[in-house]
Amino acid sequence: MTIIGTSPVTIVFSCIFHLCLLITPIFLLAHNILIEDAVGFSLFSFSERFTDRLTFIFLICAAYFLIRRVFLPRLRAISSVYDYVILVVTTAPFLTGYLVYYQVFDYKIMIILHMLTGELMLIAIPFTKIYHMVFFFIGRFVLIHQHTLGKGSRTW
Amino acid sequence: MIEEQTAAVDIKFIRDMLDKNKGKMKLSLSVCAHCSLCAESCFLFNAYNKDPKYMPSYKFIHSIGILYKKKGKVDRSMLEEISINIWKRCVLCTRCYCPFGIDIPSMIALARSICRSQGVFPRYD
Ligand code: SF4
Ligand code: SF4
Repeated sequence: MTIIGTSPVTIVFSCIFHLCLLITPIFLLAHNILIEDAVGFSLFSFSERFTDRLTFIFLICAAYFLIRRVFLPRLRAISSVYDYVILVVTTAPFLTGYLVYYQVFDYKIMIILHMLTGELMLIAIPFTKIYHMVFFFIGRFVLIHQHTLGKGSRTW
Repeated sequence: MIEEQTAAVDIKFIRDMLDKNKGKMKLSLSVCAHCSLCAESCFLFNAYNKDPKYMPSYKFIHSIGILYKKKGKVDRSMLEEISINIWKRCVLCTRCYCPFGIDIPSMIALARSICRSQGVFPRYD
């Protein structure tokens, strides 16, 4: 049985989590306006309503991962502080961004927090497990092994 | 035999063994997302009422992971504890599956070699 068969809910949450993580900041209107101001051009943007929904879905997925890690004995057996830190580092820019959009708490402080947490996440990429966003493509499409999606030969 | 069981652990020897396999070991330990998706792929996990201690990731984190973290500075009782994870809880059937491609059996095999080099292994006498 594949992991889709053994852990279907986690796989669905994981796929949605990663998709939202990738496309929300790239196609967010407010980000693209800033990019346009800075370099003169930008990618197209989703509607604010849509990215707002994506962020909300992302936060639900992050909550699912957190609850899973806190309560499931099999995860507690192998979890370390590092796992929680990575989850917080990844989720913080989205949470602060969501609060900024709805102007909850002080807008100025929130937007600064949003920028800082966003920068922290970007800085963390090459130094932490988040680097899998690069290795994923190498592992799936370049190396030849049993998980290859490209033209690698499967060896099992 | 008795002498072997009580002799001091050769930390330098363990460290050399770890160093020789550092690349793959370090990568495996740092890539592991502690996600537990490998759990069901181990028949022992299923057979022992889904006890987390039988998860493939638990077994390699609590064997080679400990040896790596402590840089080989372990005593005999720690090696005995590790040996439960890599012998009693794993038959090295190599059927475990990690979606990240971590070669868990090779990590458990390495931990076995290290324990064996210090005279820690299951005895049936
Ligand atoms: S070994 Fe693989 S499947 Fe198992 S917890 Fe680590 S990353 Fe997840
Ligand atoms: S090699 Fe060990 S951990 Fe992997 S499936 Fe077999 S018994 Fe389980």
